[in-house]
Amino acid sequence: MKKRSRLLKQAREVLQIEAQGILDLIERIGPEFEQAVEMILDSKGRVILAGIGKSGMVGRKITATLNSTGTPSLFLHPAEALHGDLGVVTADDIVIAISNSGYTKELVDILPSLKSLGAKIIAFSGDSESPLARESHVFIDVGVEREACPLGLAPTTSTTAALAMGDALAVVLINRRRFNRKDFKRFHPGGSLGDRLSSKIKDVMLTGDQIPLVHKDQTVEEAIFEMDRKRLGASLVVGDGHILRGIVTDGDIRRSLLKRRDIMRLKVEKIMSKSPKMIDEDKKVAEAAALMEHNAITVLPIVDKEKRVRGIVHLHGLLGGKEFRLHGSRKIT
Amino acid sequence: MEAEKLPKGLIVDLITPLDDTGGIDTEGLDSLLDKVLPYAEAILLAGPQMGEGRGLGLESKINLLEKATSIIQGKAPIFFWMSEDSVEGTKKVIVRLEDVLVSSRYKGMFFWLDSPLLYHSNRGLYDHYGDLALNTRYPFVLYNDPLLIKGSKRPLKRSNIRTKILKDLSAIGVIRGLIFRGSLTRVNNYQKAVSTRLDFRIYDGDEAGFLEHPSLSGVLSIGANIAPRIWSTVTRASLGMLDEDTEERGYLSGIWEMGKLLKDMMQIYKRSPVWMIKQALFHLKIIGSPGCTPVTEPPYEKDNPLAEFISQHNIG
Repeated sequence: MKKRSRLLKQAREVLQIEAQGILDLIERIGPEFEQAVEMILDSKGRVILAGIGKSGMVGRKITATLNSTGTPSLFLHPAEALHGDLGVVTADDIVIAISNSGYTKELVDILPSLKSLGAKIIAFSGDSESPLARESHVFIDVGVEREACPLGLAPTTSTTAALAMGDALAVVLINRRRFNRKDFKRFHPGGSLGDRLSSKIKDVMLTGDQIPLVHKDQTVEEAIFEMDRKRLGASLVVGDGHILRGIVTDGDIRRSLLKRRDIMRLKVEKIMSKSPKMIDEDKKVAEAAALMEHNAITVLPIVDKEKRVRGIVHLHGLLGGKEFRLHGSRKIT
Repeated sequence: MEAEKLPKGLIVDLITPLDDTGGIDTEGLDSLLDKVLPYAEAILLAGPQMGEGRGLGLESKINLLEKATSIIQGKAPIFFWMSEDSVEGTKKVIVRLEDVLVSSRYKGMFFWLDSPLLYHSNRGLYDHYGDLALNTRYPFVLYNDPLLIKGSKRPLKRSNIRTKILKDLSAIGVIRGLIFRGSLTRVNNYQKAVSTRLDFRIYDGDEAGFLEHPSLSGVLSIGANIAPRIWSTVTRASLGMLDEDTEERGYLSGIWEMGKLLKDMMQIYKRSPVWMIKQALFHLKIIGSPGCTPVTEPPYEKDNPLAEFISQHNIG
């Protein structure tokens, strides 16, 4: 018990120290930050993050945050930069260079080249008199008073502070760019994919009037009209009682036209595929997606045990490429 | 005089070598400084803990400063602890020691280290420093040590500088920083109080605290009297000041081993640091006598496991 409470005490101390590191930034943040924001907003290029070791990891995270919030960004490893990767930097770019000491050799070494390319440099550093701070156009103080790790074996508070400052920058840029929820979703097509794949088909399938549907006795021409209206590239073909009999797709029509030209007045059952793949509405979206991928098809009829049509799904819709309406009014986009 | 920013890194809380008569052991001081100077970012003289500042009379302090400045010669900034039991006594020390610096035309960096609560309450400290600054051209560093205040002849109700008072004091330009001993919560509050003053440094006054959660300003070290190179390496590593590839596995294990060694050594000398370290330095023939001032009482056990530890680990 004593050992456990000592562990918790240590953990609390670490959290306290790191929290204090961030709180101190609140006091010190100033006009340089505003200058950095304006510099990025005025730039026609990208924001390039650079750092070594843990600072590099922080840089990568800030890159990801900026990218997903509407600021084009990439990470440049300073060592790789010295061996050719500097070619990605243009005069329009802004480079955010991260080093707590401000003396990191590889980073300091690329500063003259970055400047000669015309890129603007923002330093995230804890030392305003370091070479990095001196060589930068804007110095943002991310210095902390105390590291949480014994013997400073790994940077802790200092990397937390740099990371938090990166978040502050990204969030301010979001607001300045009027980046909204819709934009966020546009940059996160995979964000809700996991949720979608684990939901049931009946929650995402198209139903009712949204289903392209013709009776087996209707003509090919009527099927084409139905396919054109519903825009899924296919139409289900049913018999009496809404029992699924087959499916007709753009491909079926093309292939039939190659065989004979006067197909319009034919009954659709003459050209339909008679053994379509289908799935139960209680199955998971992931299973439907796997079935479609395995059989190289893009639409899948949803049926009950008696093969009565309950709905239809399109692969793009399943994976977020198109709006799908849930039962009720909620949309998955 | 150089009115520069405070150094960052290892400050050696130097013992005061004394000869058998209680005077300053010049040769010992020379040898000791020769040993620690290459690794120290600053030297604290006559400190209340290791330097036995409370046991040194004014003449001894003058003598110590004269000799130390002639050896150090600006190679490292000097902190000198000048607090006495009264405002007048403290002013007197400042004036007399300032004379030494002026008459020797000392060019190196110099800071007064002051424990104000030894002779002044929190109330009125801002004005006190305004007054004190009239007596000197050198800047101040505060020393907050609650144990020192509690152990004084007339302990005040408060043994720490109040956070609000520190905030006010940090607005005085000649106060450049603070050496801190105390709780993590208090130092966090102090840090917050001085955060608008970018050049204000808060050093760890407690070695053990520094080895756990290092202040990025640096540490006041006792053990550096014995193992200055190891302390310097660990301090520089903690402050990210080493040039080595810190991602390398060997680097991390090396620093870890050194940190462990310093912690083990601390465990040995923590009960009687002055007595034990002086004995060890005497054993190493760095100082000519292990003599201490009357304020330093020897421990009950007369054997010194520190000397054995030093020999075992080939330190010193």
